[in-house]
Amino acid sequence: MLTFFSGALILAAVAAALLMLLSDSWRWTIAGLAIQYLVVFLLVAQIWPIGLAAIKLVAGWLAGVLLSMANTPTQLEEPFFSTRSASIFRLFSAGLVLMIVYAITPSVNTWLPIPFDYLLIGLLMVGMGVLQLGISQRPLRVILGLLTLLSGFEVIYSSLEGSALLAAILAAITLALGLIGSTILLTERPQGKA
Amino acid sequence: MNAPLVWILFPLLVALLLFGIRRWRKVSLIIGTGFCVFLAVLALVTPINQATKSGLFQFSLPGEFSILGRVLNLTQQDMPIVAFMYMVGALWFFLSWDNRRKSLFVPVGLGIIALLIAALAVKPFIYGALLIEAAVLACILLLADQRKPVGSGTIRFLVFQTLGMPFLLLAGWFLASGEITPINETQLTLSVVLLGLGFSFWIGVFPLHTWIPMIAEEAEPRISGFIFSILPLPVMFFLLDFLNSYAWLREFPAIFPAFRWLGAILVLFGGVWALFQRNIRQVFGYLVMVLSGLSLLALGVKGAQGIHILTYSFFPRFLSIALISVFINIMLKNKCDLPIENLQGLAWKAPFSVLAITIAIFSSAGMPLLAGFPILQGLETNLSTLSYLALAMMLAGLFSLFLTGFRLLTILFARTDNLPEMKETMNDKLTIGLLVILILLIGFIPAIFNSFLSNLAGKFQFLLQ
Repeated sequence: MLTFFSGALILAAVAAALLMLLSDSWRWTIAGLAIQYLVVFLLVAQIWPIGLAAIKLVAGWLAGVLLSMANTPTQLEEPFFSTRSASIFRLFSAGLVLMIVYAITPSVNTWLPIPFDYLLIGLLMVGMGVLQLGISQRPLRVILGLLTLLSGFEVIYSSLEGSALLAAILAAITLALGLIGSTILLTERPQGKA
Repeated sequence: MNAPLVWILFPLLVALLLFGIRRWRKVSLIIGTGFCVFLAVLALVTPINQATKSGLFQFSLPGEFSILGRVLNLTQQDMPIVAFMYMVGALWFFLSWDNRRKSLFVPVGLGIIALLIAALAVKPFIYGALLIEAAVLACILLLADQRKPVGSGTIRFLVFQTLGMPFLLLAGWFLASGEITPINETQLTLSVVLLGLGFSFWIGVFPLHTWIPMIAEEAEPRISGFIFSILPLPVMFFLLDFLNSYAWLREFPAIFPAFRWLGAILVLFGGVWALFQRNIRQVFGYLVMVLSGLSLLALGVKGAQGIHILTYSFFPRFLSIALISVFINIMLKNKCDLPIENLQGLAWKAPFSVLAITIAIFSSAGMPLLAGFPILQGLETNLSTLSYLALAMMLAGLFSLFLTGFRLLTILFARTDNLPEMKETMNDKLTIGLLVILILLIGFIPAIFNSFLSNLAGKFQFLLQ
């Protein structure tokens, strides 16, 4: 049974994922990433000590900062990606992923004994991350896809296992992805642009 | 002082120091190489967790180090692989001597080795997946450090390796929960599927292999060589740890045949594709696929034999990769085109380079008297009692690799008026000479080199039965 709080978190997770998937503006995309890590924090804080859960929020937001520091406004623009038909296609794909996730979550829940809302949000993020990875080769979208996928996995896995070392390494991986993303974006930046 | 501090945390600190002084390229290289050699030698002579004080040093280092509620534990049995990894690191750093621009290779490479050793040492071992992922991310930093936009191979490598980690952590959780409550058939099948997917992404099992030739084609050869030679070692040990830790997994009837089939497919496809490539760098990628396939085939041979073949294969694998990387590097230094048809008559201009590429391919294909032959012999003997089809696929793949070598030889020795402009330096010749001598030595007296790493098998006592 979903509570109002978990319903709100599900909506926030969907909104964040759609923002990252559909928007061509890097500001909205990074805002989506920030909302996503807030959702992860609010979920994990209910199982883990708040200090440990806060590591995920800090690491995720820092990864966002790293990505924005190296970002160029054109990074998310692609010739086909920006057309209306491409946006509708992405929206429908996202809808399909949401439906698949909603359909399979009860059966996955028989094998992964964690709260239903955690599993739903976790799988939703994993699905949207995979979708993001599948539809673009642009480095920023790939990094965002990986961060979304890992966020979903972290939501699921934090319900199964919790330790300081796990939190630390996962946070380091999130930060490293942000760093790699910014390094890749910097190498892609045309010479002469600051 | 304890072992993880010496071989994991201290190197990470030195890596940070080297990062700080990376603009002094030669200094950073000398310190990095010397430090790796020092740690490798130290790993061979220092007793760990020994009750009696004997040998060169009259002290023994404790093997455990607690960190954030978990333990890093290095035992005496881990020391040969620790020494091997640092030695391999030292050789790759040494091979980057003629690199003319400041690079992250030495500091990040040292950090990668330390992270991979941490992955071997961490308890519970399942956390190793996270540390291997961290090392992969460091590899991406190396691949991105090339003053040109990263290629699609690097992106694919990042995606595939990152996708593998969640599968393995979940498989580990499923299998570990079986220690508390009895695991049922469906749970076991599910965990085997998760495990298979995770390792397929990591090792690059067909059809998830595409990043291997792409990385070989687009990365600086010494960086791709370093990644190809060092990353699979802890991955294989991680897999062995899984099998050793969970009885229900190693007794699952499909598990060892699955390794054999995946390995045989990898060798077959790698060998056949290598034959049809037009660029040496792509041949390099498919050769790495063949080597990974041979490792999987060795895993598929259940018991002590399989583990001995696997541990023995580490040396020849590294030497073949190093030789082919050195060859590609010499070509790139001389601004030589790497399409194979442009290399006509190269043997008359650069005999050492030609020796390097041919020995690398023929050794990997299992030519007698070269380092790869004992692997082929061991696999042939064991597979003939386990699966004729897997054996036939392996032999077909290796035969294709042989043909690739012969095809290259006919082009490299062709008489032509337009010989490629090539110049080998004394350093190049010495490096190739040393690596070729090592390959021949291992081929002639494999037992000596095998005994060095065979102690590792003791780490997996349940798999030896």
